[in-house]
Amino acid sequence: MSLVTLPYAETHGPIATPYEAPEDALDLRRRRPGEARSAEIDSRTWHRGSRRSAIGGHVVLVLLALFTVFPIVWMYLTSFRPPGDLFSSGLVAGSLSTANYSTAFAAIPVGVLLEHTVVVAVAVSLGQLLTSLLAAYAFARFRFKGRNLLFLVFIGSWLVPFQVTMLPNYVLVSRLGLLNSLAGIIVPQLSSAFAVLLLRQHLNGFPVELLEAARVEGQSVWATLWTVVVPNLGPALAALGILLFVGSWNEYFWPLLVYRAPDSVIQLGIQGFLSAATVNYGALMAASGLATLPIFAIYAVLQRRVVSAFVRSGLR
Amino acid sequence: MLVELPTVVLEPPRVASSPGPALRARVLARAEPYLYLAPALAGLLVWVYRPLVETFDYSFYNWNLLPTTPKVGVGWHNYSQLFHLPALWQAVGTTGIFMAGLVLFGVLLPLLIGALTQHISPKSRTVYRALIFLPVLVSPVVTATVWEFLLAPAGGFVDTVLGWFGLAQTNWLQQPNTAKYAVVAISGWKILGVSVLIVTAGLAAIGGEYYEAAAIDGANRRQVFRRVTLPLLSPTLLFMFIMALLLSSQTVFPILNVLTQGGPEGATTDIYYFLYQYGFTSFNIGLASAAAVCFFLVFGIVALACVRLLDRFSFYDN
Repeated sequence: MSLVTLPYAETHGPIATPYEAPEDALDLRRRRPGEARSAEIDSRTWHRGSRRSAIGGHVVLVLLALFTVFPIVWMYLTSFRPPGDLFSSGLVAGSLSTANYSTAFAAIPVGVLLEHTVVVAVAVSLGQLLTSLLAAYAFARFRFKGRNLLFLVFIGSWLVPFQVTMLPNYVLVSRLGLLNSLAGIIVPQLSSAFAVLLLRQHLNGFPVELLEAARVEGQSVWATLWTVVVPNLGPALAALGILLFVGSWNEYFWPLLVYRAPDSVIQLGIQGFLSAATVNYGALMAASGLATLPIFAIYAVLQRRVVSAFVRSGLR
Repeated sequence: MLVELPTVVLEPPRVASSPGPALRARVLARAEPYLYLAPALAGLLVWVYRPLVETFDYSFYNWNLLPTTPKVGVGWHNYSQLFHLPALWQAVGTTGIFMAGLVLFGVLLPLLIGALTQHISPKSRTVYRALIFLPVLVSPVVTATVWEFLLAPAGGFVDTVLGWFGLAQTNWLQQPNTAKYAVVAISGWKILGVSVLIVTAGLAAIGGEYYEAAAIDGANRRQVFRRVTLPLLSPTLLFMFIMALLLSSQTVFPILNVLTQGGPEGATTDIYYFLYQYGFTSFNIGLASAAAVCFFLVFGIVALACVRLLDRFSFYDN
């Protein structure tokens, strides 16, 4: 649903091989073929002498960056403060301590929680990548009876909020005997309209000549998917994979309903600290920092891809 | 929206040459697209459409979620009970505040910031981008715990800073009024940065020829913004608006459940939290389902209206 009328959807128009949005698209700056930097240069010459507004812009962005980054920095700083000194407001801790981490590890099974979270996030993202790839390929490749209706079925599922379906889904998971199991978290999330729509959009701009060539060579539909489509759809699949992994790593609501044991996933494990009579903020910040670290690690390595995946899909 | 690009059909129906095995091949070829669709479709049918129908069904029964207790049919009673609950109307009001807050942090502020920072060179922009993007990666639970710590009474960072300016300290999450706005601000923190980036991307996508034309016509900067930038940006803005409204429940729920559990005095209970509490705290499945049905209908109407709007607005710059 998202993915459709955004202006930058145009970048997905037919592009010659290799099928990848131009690097500059990651700079979130669209350039039509042959247009060559005109937007940038023109708006610069047009606003020549707007130095003052540039300085104002920097001030705004510095403030915004402080607002967004400070809580995260504060979380990590606090996690390394000695437990008796948590509410110190100095930017640099007097002395560093890993006591909060020891407390966190003693209070909740961090290792198991992280392992479960990895299993869920990998299974959900791979599962959704596969089911959505197949479905998007079907829509792009075939014309068949009920095609439009089935597409509406996919779009329509966007209009159903999670909270509307959660009770019957909980009942079904419980009947299947999947309560308090990782399968209970994973199975209901193996297919999503979002993933199908996103990939379908990318496939719409897929160079037809490549598919045609494969057909002429007598390749089967199935083989074409894996030898032609998937290799050329790399960036799109990577973007979707990132979105799905981050989303399912951070998922809270559904595991909360179906896996209430202390060894569920990390997001629920963190919450355990808050139910205590007096909250141990040090251990809480340590656990929160640990839960966020893997995602930040991915971000450190794939920064541009991660930003572009989120900004393009409009997910927040 | 939902622009249907013409799809090139690559697979002409295969012609059968001999009747026996060819028939099987033909059936298989007919079935092929459906086979590709089957896994994703099965998932949606089982986990979205089946429960949707069941929710309608549950809404006419009295049930407490226990498999051993029988469901008792009560007709429309759940609905009439629902509409007479003052808590429902309080939740509707709170939802309105949350949605307005998310539109503020997810559309209006980003637009303002995007406009103010339009003339910054792409090079220095990348540094800011790396930083302001971060909160969207932080899970809702961690967002909630970090802010709980920042807002902690007696010594939390926010109170400390207010203390420097001699301002009274507040127990932010324990008072109905401040709790509401604290929830809005915390959700806002999570979505503001990435929303700015979406607006920035939209602004950068506006072709230079429009600004050129405006310059030739002698338009000043304010005119350019109102007559050129805003209209061309409207599809992006409308899209962000829709996402802010429709995803508000997903954004806010974990923060509510971790920080306030809908309190104090139900002040932070929005309609989805209301539904959750009736379903999973008081186990009044019939009432919760009736609420779910109503929310689904309202949500659907709003969503369809938005889609219509988006369709109408997205003819620019084609």
